[in-house]
Amino acid sequence: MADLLAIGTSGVLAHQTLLSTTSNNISNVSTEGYYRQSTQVYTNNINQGCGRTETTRVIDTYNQRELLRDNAQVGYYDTIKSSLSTIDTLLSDSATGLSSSITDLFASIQSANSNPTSVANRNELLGSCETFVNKVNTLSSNIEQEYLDTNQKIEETVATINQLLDGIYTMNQQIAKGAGQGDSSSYLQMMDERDRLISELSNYMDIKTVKQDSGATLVNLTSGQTLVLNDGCAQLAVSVSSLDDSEYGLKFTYGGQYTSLKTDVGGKLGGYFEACSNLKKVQSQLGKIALTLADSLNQQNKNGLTLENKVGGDIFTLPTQNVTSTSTTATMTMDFIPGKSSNITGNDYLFTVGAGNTYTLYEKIDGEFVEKETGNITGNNLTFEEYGFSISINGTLATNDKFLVQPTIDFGNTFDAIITHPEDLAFASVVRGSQNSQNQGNATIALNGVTNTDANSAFTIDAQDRISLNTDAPTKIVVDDNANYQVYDANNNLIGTAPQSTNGQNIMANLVDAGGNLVFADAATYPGYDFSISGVVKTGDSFSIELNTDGFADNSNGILMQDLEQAKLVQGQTNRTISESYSALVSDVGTDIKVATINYDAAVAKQEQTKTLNESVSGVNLDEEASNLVRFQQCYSASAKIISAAQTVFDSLLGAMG
Amino acid sequence: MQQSNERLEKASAQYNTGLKFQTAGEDPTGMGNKLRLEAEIATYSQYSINAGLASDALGLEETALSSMYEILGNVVIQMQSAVNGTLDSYNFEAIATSLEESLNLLFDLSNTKTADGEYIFSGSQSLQPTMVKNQDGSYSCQADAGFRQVKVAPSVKVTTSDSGLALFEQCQVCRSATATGDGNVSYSNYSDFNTFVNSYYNSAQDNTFTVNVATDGSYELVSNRDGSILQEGTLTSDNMTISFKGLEINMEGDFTLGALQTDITLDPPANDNFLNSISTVINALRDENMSQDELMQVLAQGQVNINNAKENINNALGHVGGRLSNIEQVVNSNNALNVIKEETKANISEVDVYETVENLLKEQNALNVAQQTFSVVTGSTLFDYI
Repeated sequence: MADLLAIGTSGVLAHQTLLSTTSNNISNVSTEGYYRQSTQVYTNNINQGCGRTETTRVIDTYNQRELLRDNAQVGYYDTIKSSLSTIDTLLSDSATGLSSSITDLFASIQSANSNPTSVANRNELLGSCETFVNKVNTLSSNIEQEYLDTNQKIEETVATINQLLDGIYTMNQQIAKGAGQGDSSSYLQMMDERDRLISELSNYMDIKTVKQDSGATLVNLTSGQTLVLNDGCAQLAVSVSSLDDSEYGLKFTYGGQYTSLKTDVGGKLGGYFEACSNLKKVQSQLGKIALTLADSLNQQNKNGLTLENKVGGDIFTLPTQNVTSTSTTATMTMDFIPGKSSNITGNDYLFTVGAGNTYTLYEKIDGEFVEKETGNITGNNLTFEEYGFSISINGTLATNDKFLVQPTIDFGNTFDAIITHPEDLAFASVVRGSQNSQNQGNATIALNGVTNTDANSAFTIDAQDRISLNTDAPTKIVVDDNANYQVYDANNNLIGTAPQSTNGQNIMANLVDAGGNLVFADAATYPGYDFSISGVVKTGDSFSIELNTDGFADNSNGILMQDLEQAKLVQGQTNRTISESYSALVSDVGTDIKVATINYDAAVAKQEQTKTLNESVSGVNLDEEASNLVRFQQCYSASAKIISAAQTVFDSLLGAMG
Repeated sequence: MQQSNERLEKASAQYNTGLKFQTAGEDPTGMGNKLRLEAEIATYSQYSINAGLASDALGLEETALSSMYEILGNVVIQMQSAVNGTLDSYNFEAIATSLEESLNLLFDLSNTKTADGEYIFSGSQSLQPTMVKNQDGSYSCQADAGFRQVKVAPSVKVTTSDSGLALFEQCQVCRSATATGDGNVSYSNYSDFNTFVNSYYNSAQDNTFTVNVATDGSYELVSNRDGSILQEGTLTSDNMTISFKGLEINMEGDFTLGALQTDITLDPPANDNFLNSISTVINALRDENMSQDELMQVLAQGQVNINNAKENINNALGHVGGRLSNIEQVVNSNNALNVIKEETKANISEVDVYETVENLLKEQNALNVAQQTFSVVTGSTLFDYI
């Protein structure tokens, strides 16, 4: 039988612990990461009185792990949403977006074309071109800036992550060392701090935890990679691609060599990488749209005559793009093939040099390099017409050299309007047709279009851009007795005859020789122009084709330029007009953001739910602690009373013995 | 409270801008549709402007051509008035002077310029005049067959100019024939003769006939192309004229003495501008050495030529009128489409003002309630009472 004093003492001590736990809870009510502690008093197996006390954290480990997952989700969608939203505003806003620029450009073409000799209207068109170029440059450089900023954020996030990993590892060490003091509040609070660090880390990456018996918690990525071990922790670093110094990757080390890590780590870090690749895609697509418009207008301008009777030139530049490489002995540049902009996909290409002077060309589709073609390297210039670009090599190539060709990424930054004089806009066609004034029929001749003015057409362009028809070009059409259309050249040699059944339409394309074979394999290339005759023709009627010298009132080439607005110029899965392509781009960015927003809202709601559950289990409820405080005080007073009772007993005993 | 605040801000933004969404992130398909519709609306407004310009240009052309038509009508009347045997050289001089004035007016009108200094009838080379007067007094046309077009709808192009080459220069002049042998030709009815030549003449084939008069006076008019007999009849000694399709073939000589033969060759049909035709008549009226018969011939030819020119211009006026009414229809349909597109765009992207104000008030209330309950809920703890 224990004595009253001992019983009372054990009670007092136990309730003292209970009180201190409760007051600890109350003081820590606003502490971040604090888990409510509760003390259990166990029965005494040996004697009367209280047994041992054990203080533990009230924690729902399932909920804790759930919160880690939720944090990562929220961080991931949040970063995607906010990284894209600047670009979204830029693209959608009518002042900074490209949509109104495109329509203004075509409207200026229309008004300049309705009065082709007016220099004032032409000046306005030049102004519209400048505005368009400026907008594309601004958009492109803003996207690039956003991208570089996101790279910066990646670097900062990696630094923060490394600090956290270090912190977790250090805390784990201390916890393992102090395992002996298993129930002291300070030990529990160390665990709280470590758990807080883990929770903060989960914002940045998607992680899983594994509890160890020693009290330490190991941390892994959900994709499997271990970050914090018993005897060390990993440090992450940013790896810069050797081919593209704006492309970041991840690598990690345990103190020795670095191993690369896939970038889909979830959380904010994963979100930044995802946002980067989205931004790059937007920039590529923007470059592709600008390139297609510039190239089409250039090509059309080349088929016309300017106000100075010269053949038209380029309106916009298609600048040479630099190519990054791993080679130490050779450099490469990339040029666009004029007229083949419809073949540009907007993807990047990898050019690798193999043994025996061979090459392999890969296309980057959805982040993976897919082999497209191989061949031998002949000379210093290679043309890839089906991809729309050509490359030229300087220096000597070595085996395993790699070159990254990025056609459209930088295009928006470097593209510019090259035309400076309003007279250089070529709205008139290069050739015109006339009927002979002595014709008895009422037929008229109209130009279908000029499709080719290059060296393989019937035109010759000299160094000063003056154009002339070759002597063997078809320049005269005479109607014979059977209403066939005979075509002669400048020296009156018969080139061929278009039969009466053609009704005078597309004379050059339908021209046959005496044997009935087509004279021109492809009238669009040679002679590069075609005419149609409509109306009644009489025998002997003749029509002549000549250069449209001084024909400034003609606006047929300008009309073809206007038609480019409705033409499906941009190739892809579906062919689209320039405007449609741009609104599709804006829609795509908007969809990405909308999806991210919806997911973010869902993730936040889930996170709130988990947090609330967590709070309800582990959070400090002041009301509960207040009533506990009152209760434990009473218990303490009651136990203290036992001691005073013991004293009274002892005093009485002493008093009884006299 | 936070959520209430967010919703209030969104409603306020909607009310202030009148738009349902500002960025594509809020409504991707809506933004895509809105951008597309805006582009189309802008294009259609440009088409309206173009249609206005086209109407103006065609209006100018119509005015010029109508005036020319009227003056040409006047010219024909003046020419007719000169066909009067009682007139003397002073009368002819008066008619010639008034014809000259009409000629100058027509010359001016054929060189009509726009306000920018472009000649509307010159085809592609609009900086040079359509008709020029040469040193020898004749007029030639410098225009080519070019024309200008204007887009008034995505696939509708309206021609806004006509070339003087087809309008002025390609006017048919009277056909003629040459006789060799025992006969000569004169013309009784130019219209009939012109019609015959237009249908018969073929530049790739033989265009001559032979008239054979036998000793008994019977004649045959044989086509050398296929040997067919076009006309036959009998001549008498006091009627040696064969009338064939407006052509008078006067045989000379005595057929009783021997067969007579003459070859008639149709001259190649020609076109010339009406300024030259009028010039010819003026010169003939002033020529004192010309006989009355010749003068009458020239006047007859002149009238036929001018009538042909009138027909040309009339056709052109018809085309221009057709184009103008076409433009009007296209403009109307463009406007209707534009209204529909504006409406669609408004439905997609703009807010209903009443709805927005209602929303705004609702959110304000919600925020107030949230704020009040917040203070009640977090205000009291047990510690206040122990």
